[in-house]
Amino acid sequence: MSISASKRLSAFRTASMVIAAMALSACSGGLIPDEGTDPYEGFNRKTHSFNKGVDRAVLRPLAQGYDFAVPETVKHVVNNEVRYAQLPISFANSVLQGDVSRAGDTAARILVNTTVGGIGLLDPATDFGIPEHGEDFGQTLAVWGVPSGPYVELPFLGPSTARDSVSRVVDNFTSPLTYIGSGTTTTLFKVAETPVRIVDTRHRFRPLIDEVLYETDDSYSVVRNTYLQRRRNAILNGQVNEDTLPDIGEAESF
Amino acid sequence: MKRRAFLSFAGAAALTVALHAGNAFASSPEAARALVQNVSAQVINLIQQPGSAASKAPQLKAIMQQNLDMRQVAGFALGRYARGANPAQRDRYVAVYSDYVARIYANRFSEYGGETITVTGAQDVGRKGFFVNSTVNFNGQVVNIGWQVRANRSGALKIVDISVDGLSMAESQRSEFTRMISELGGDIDAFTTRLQTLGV
Repeated sequence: MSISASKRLSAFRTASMVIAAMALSACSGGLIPDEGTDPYEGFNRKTHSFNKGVDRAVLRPLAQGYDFAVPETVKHVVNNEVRYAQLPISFANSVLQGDVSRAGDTAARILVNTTVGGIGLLDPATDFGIPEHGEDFGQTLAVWGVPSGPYVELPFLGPSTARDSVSRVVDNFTSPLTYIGSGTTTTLFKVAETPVRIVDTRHRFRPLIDEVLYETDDSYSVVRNTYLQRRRNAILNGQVNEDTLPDIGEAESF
Repeated sequence: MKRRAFLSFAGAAALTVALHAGNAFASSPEAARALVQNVSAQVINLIQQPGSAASKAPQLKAIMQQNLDMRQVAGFALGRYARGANPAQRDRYVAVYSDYVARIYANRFSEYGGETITVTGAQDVGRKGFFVNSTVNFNGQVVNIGWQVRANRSGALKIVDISVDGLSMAESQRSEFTRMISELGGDIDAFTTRLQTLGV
């Protein structure tokens, strides 16, 4: 089976699994699942051990090797390129959320980094003070009022919710990489983008991920909690209000 | 004698005015911002001193005890188990918690590489107090640090939570602690003993 056919098939499987999960939980939860709810915990924990095994055997060594063998400048350029490739997805989702200001920032970032930055190799937009926003379809659905559905840990892909799993499939369609033509260079770029992005991310967050996975005594809970809090923050674009903040010391004096 | 009485009266009056002015100022986003600026400067100053993380933990604890609502922060971390703790258990737990939190942060700060923190704004969040935004630049990667500040029972502003890119320390700790306590069958004393050994 060719790579793209198997990728399409697995995307289809993920999508049908997730749509089933969403149908089951259409009425539960808001921005993130409610505190203390984890209906698939047993299954999720098995997937978590599996993912941890994959990290220990493959991903962590790859990220370490990448850090050791690749010169700083190259790592820097790779990271620029990885972030650049995500910008169209971010732009499309800012538009879908009706967020003109963020859409404008991202359009400006694409314009500057495509031209002055040499198709994303450099990142002059950051030096010009153009903010970077990482919007995706999961956040868009949340803004539209779609509930998160239950927490799920996906094999290979890691922490997610029903809503965020759907988003992964849709974001594939918003990425121009899905549509750009053939030719050796473009094909190579298309095939390499996802694995390179995964290794780059694992490398960039190595201290945090190592600590969470290997130095906490219940890494499953820590991953779940960290993921959900960060998603809520991403949906709210970093804004806080009276409802989102923890109620420390008010309800009952300790 | 009269003169002295007058002076002490004047002194007391001046003090009252000052305290009053302080109180009017005490509950505003500006005051919350000033508190965060002051505390972060103290902490950065401490980190930059020579010495091991372990040797700095007691001083960090002192800064925290002065500027954090330590007791309420500790209580929040117990989640649903807070209610079941009796006064003696609470006191012992808060003492152990204060050492624990100073110890883990002193360790974490040992990776500090001279980054500076910039306070970018403060907002009123109603019942939940104030929220102060700041950023730290780690080699071009900007991290948002948020501080929740709230007036304690005597009206003094204290920090109650710190978040890193939306990840709340209080919520993360509560999730971790309640899971550990539930594994220990809800036994607060056993948990407190366990906490003494964590991050050592």
